[in-house]
Amino acid sequence: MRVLIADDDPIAAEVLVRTLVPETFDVQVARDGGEALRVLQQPDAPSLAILDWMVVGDVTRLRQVLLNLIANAIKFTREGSVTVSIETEQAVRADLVNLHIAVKDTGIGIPRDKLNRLFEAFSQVDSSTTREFGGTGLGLAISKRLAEAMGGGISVESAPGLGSTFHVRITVRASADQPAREPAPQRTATPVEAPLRILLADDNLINQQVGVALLAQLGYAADVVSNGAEVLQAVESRSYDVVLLDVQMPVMDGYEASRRIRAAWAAREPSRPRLIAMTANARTADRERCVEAGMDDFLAKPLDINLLRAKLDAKATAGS
Amino acid sequence: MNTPISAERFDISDMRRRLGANDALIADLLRMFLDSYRAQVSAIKTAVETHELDAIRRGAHTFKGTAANLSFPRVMEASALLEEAAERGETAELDGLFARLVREVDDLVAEIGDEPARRL
Repeated sequence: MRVLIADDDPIAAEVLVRTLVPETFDVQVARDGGEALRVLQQPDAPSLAILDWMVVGDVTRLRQVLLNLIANAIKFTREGSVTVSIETEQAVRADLVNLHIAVKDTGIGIPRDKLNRLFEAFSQVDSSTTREFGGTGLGLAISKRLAEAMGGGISVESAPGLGSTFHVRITVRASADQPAREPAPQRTATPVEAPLRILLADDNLINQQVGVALLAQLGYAADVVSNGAEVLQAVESRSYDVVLLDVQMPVMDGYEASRRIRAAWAAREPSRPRLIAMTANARTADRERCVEAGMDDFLAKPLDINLLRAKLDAKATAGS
Repeated sequence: MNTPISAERFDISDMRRRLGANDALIADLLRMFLDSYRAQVSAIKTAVETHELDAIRRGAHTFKGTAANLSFPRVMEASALLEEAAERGETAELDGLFARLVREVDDLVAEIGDEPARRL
């Protein structure tokens, strides 16, 4: 499958390129066995530096929304293509720009009567879709919440057998004559001063969903894997600030994964991801076992949003 | 009017505290549990019938984690007892503990009902 980012608009191309390439997208496409991302037109004109005007947390959110939509499009498109395009237009106010991003696929499409439930968490078109394509439908629900948190929205148009197009519309601040950074505007949502790149490892599907949903509420996007071996693959292919590790997982547990990460990063310790154990066992012996394996911190299971926020805030501050 | 669910079966206030008072998310997770618990219980049942201790232990452990995350104290306890018995190799207890887990799950599901959002 070929994934194209098509755009003639240098501003738009810059947003896409800086949002998605390379950290999010290469990994996702490679994982799905597709070709690497191709950018049709490199930005060469002076840019309006839209991203410099977006709140840091918004860039993270936008990236997560696009990742979810593109991953979804790839998943449901066996043949044909996925095309991402973006348009900008001047908003009512001179310092605002409307971004309209479209993720278009030529996949299986969605029946009309299922469209209205599509953005509800855990909705799938039907159970056979779940069996064939996997996934829980959480990605679209989270994408909708994230787009709304940015003051925008998501919509979809689709026809079974022909494909689907998801539209994301958000408004960002922009200025042609003031590309320098300005103080970020005040936000009502939880501000993320230093967005952390987070990997969540848990073999229990419901625990994964709880983890992802809590992180999304805190304004963080996360990648998710199911065992220690997948953790090792992920940390080698992409850089993370924090790895949240369930200690008991099949194939390779969290202790072993931590030992191996510690060993692999021995010569480059400052860039090593922080390792936070998630364990239901709060006994001293278990904590010592985590420390021995090289973990930096613990989180009690089941997860609690306030404890999670406190641990991540500490990491964000320490890392900046 | 529905009677409130007992906190021993489903501790709503604990869940709201942990998940940031997000009832929409809680309803989603409950619905996901209702969609998936039968397959998990049936996997444990097969393991109990074939006396596969390691599979029982793993299945019960996973179910315990799910129950903990969803604030189901009694199901969590029943899962933990089954997990521990399998770990210790106490085969004589497995049938009884599995039956207890099934009872707890059935009671819980009956209390939650088909529309979790209406019980929040």
